[in-house]
Amino acid sequence: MNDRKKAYLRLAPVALLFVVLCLWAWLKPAGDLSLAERRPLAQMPALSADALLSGDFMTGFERYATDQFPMREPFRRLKSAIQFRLLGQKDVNGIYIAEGSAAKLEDPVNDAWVRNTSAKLQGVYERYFAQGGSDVYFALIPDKSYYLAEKHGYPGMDYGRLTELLKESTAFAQWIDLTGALDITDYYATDSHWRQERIGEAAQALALALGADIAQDFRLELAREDFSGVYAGQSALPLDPEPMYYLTSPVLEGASVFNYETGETGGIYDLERLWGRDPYDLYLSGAAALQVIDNPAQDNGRELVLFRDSFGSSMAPLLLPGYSRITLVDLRYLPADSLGNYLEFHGQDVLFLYSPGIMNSSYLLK
Amino acid sequence: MLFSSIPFAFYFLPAVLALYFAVPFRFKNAVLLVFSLAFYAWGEPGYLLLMAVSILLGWLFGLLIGKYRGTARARLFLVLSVAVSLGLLGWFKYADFAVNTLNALGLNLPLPHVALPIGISFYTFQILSYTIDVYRGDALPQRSPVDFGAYVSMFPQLIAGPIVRYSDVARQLRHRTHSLEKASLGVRRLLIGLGKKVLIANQLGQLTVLFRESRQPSVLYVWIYAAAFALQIYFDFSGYSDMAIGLGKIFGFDLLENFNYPFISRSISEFWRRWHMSLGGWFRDYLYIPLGGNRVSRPRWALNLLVVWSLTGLWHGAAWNFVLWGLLFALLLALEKLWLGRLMEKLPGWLVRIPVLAVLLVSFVLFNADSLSQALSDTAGMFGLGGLPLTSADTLYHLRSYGPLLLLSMVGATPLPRNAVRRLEGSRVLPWLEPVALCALLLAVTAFLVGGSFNPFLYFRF
Repeated sequence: MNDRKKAYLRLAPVALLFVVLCLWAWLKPAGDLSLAERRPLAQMPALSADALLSGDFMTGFERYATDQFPMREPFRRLKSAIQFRLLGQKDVNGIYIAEGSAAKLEDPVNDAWVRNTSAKLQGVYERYFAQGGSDVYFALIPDKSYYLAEKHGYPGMDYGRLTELLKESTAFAQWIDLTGALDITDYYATDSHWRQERIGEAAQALALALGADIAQDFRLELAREDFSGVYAGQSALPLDPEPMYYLTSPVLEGASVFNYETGETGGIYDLERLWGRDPYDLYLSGAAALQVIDNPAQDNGRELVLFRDSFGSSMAPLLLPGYSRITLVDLRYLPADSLGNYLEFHGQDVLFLYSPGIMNSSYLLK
Repeated sequence: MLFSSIPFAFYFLPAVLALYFAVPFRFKNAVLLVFSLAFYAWGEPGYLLLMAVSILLGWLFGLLIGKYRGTARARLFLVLSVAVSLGLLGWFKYADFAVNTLNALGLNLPLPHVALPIGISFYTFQILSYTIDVYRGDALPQRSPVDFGAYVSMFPQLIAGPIVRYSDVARQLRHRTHSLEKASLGVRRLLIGLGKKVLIANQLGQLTVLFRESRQPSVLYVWIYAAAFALQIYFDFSGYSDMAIGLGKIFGFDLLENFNYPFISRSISEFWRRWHMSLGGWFRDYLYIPLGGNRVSRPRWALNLLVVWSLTGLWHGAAWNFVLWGLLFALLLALEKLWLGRLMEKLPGWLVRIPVLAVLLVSFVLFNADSLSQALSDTAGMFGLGGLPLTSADTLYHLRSYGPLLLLSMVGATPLPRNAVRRLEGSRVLPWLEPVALCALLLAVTAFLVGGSFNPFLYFRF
């Protein structure tokens, strides 16, 4: 083969591929949303003299061109496959797969941060509940890494140290241990959260400590076949979508949920959210600063104030039969100082239910 | 604009290629100039005027020096040209550094807060090389402002080199050939460069970030960090040079090589003959030799070495750790020249390369520090002086996670892959394998650009 033929053979296929990708990128209509990444895609920025001179147009165009590139998802998956399979990286963007389940590398325990977050919770307790005779409990939701990291050689949080610190710094609350009530199969493989249909034992452990009778006959409903959780989206690792279920019952169907931010009242499950950015918003319509669930089927007058993160949305319905009312407070969105503007405190049960990522952080709770 | 970005690869590049090859030869430099200015303005709209003024002044001074060559006026215009170029570089790159240094000595001067224009160190050195070459008679003055502008601002090498000397491309500006062979080799080189930057350097960069974020540092981790950074900067910068050379070929230029497997060097002086060769050559020809080089008394030679290497350090960044980095090389080169050189030549290769590499790793730790104190603490950490444990769980995990990449990049930094390809060159397989590999490389690079985050070239800051 002469040099010219070799050059042609070297250039032609890659040039053709390049031209196809260029034309595709220029002609492809812009999309609105990346469901996998759970975010809106950048749009073409407005062109103006100011935007050009300030460089805003260029920055915007770079985002637009990258976000709107054809076959974005297959390219993201190709990147992860190269990192994971070819370059042998143990994690991609801090996410790894073990036992078929994706988990996130956890930060080591930071004593000061844990103490700081616990002090915030203690402040809430002292300000609102210490005088009212409330029974106060604290439960830590183990991260998936608790079940996977050490076993598979990934750096993980020292749960012994975290537990010791939390027990010491939340001495105002009774400790509820959930580690034995859960295992890795109780969590979604593609997501950080637990599966509602698998946390009955954890709910019983909480109820036992709270002294609440939460027995009810559940019906298992399939929410969607193809749930792909946040870890699948972030890492673009090869993880199959999985079915998502929810538990319902006459008690739950009769309950109402009031959201203080929106002023709206709805049901326990918001099926429309299943097709939105985060299908886990199915439970109590997702993240909310302050919600109240009223249970007309229970007239014992008992109330629970549940300080929670996103895990609490799927747990609260399981605790509902034991209470006439459950108030859910998310201190990530509601400053503790303003809690008194919305609630009255009269000896309700109080449960602080948090995952390690919240407790081992200095800034997440307000 | 970054070469390793979707806007460059899939919008800018096809546009410039289409127009460049559509116009007759006499307009090609104009097309290059216009697109190069647009390329620069994309990243630095505020500093486009500065570059345009620098180009215009360089061109005018070149004409004046050429016109009065051999007279005192030529010398005057050369001095003016050097003063203006270095004055602009000094103000935009070193004003804050100078004020900070004076303030540290007890003054209380307000900081001017001057932002560094991208590529100023590169294009300033190119303009300087032009006016000096014209003064010396090594090059004729360029009459066409378009050709001169295309030379200085040529986007393939504008913002991260190699530093192209005017005398090396003067003829090519007027007479160069375009061919299928050249274009195909250019595309291959461009893709290899992109691969080095995107698939290797950026990933190694993540490891260096993880080291900085780690709450479990260790002695071993500092060494891994040092190796990762040394390899990152090599693949980043040599990848950029590959892209520049590849793009140059597509546009008909033959740019000089900038790297020649520096990590296989048997000595520090050999390392500098293999690393950033265009910068080393520039300092040698325009500073070291005019100062007398090594054909002077020993004390004067030592002074020359100190001047050249402290300025080489400062060229890389306006901070004292860069000066320290440069002075370290001055010291090492002096040691080699005076005492160690002959001994090193007699020892087996592997026995010399290990300490040379260790010294280079220490130098890169100094180089990459954010401050002098970080430079010193990192260096101390390498030798167990910072109270760090020998290793940690985090260290071992990241060693396992990035071990294959580190190994791959270590092999890639040697001539082994090139030699393996050369052995295949006569075979019937290579012509068929090569396009498949290039297409795979294009897809892999695109995947990393689509899924990646912002990763500027390390040499942008110079």
